[in-house]
Amino acid sequence: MKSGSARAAPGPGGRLRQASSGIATVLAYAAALMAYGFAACFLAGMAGWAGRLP
Amino acid sequence: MTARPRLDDYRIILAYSGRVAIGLGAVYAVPLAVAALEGEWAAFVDLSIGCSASLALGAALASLMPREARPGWLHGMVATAVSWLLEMFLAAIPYRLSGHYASWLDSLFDAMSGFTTTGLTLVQDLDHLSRALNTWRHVVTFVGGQGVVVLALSFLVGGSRGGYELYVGEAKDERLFPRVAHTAKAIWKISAVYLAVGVGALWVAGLSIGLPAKEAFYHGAWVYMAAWSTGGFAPMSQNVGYYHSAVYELVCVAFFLAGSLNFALHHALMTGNRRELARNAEVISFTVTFAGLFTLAAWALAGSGTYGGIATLLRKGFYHVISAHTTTGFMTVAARQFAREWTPLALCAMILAMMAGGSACSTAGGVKGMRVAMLWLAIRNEVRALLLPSHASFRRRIHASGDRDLGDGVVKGAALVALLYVATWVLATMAGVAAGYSPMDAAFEGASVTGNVGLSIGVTAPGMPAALKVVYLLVMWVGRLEFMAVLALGRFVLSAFGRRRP
Repeated sequence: MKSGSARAAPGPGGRLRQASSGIATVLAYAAALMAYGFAACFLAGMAGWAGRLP
Repeated sequence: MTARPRLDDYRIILAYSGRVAIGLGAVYAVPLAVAALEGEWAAFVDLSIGCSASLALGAALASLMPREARPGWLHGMVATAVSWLLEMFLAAIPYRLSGHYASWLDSLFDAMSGFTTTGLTLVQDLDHLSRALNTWRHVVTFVGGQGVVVLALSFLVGGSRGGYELYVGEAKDERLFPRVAHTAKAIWKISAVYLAVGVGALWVAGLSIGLPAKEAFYHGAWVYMAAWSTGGFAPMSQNVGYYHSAVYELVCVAFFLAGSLNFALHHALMTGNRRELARNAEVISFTVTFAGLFTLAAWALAGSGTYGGIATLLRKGFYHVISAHTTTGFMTVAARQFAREWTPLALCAMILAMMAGGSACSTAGGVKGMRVAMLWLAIRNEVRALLLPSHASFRRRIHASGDRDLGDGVVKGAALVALLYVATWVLATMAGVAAGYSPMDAAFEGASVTGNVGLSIGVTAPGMPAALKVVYLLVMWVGRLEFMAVLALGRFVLSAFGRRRP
């Protein structure tokens, strides 16, 4: 196998799959940030609630 | 071009601006089609006047191009700055004719706010705007997100000389392909793919909350265009809060986050290089600054008891911090709630988020994650150099869609733009204080206009002083073009009064 040989360009189906995969990756990143947001809200909410205890 | 410009210099600049104006005239076809479809004939006439003015003026200016044109860097930069001003005037025509704006200044403010993807608005009775005019507002912000020059490059300027200079003038310097026209087309292709997915997702979200099918489609299209372009315009006066839906808000977050990412990153992801997301310096920078600022805001909001429940904290706190950091400007609370309910610490976190902004070569504004990453790495490298033996050397690189050298010149450029952003924010804040607003209100609104965000603490309203409207309008323009094109225009104007070239 030749090293550094160019990859063949994907066909229309392949391009669609790659584009879908790209969008899914971005959506997964958004979901990860939201999950972090939920965790931070949970911890901040608990700390805030504890801080307001008499 | 330090000497006095020649007649050909003016002609080249005006001709390029004319081509961009023709592009805007073509874009008018979208709201015109909506007006015809919905039988909104008053709006149709207003939009037709704007369209005709754009095409006629654009054709007249484009015909000025000299036969032996040799466009250079200054032509491209100045033409970009002039084009954005010209587009503002041409896009504002239907706004003013609609009767929904109190003055020409308010119409121009809205047009510039749309093009720069800021999203602050001075429209009156927004809830009763015609569908066609609402479409125009959102198309303006969608086109502004991609860049008005990118639009012209894709279809009108093409591979002709001066294209790259125009492209860079619009604060986009990533080349996805060797030819800048191909890069511009790739940007539009990525946007078109997301347009189809985003409008579909928001349409379904609209249906799920009980909107009629046609209404859900229009709202989906408008909100999507504002989300992807990190614009922040919304069809209703309550902004995204109108929908009272966590699902709608979450779908918006996904698409405005996508809009704030670099087009080069989208291109890499869509061509099979999924690992780029985890390695990209801009994404890492955004994730770290967002996590830090949101933790700070959540702690401040929870501690003060502003939002009691975790779900409320997530929907109000998380939503507004990520809306600020991506420079989108979507809101689910009334503007004055920030001033009355949010603590100063939470507002400071929002101001920092608005200033940091999204990615370079994206639809977002602000200092940009790339520059934040560069400055952080430069500081780290300096400390590392101090601690290593004097003869030791190491590679100074940053990874963002490929490895790039992080030389002194690159760091200096990033530091200069960051410094100019801070200076502009200070000026905008001082203008707000001079107009009689509190320092916190002025600083918040100043960060919003400088970073092209669109979140408002209640300063931006039709009744605000006209001088402050002008200051904000200019700050939006300067911030969007990242200073260089505007500084080039200033230099060009000054040189017009200088000595004649030998």
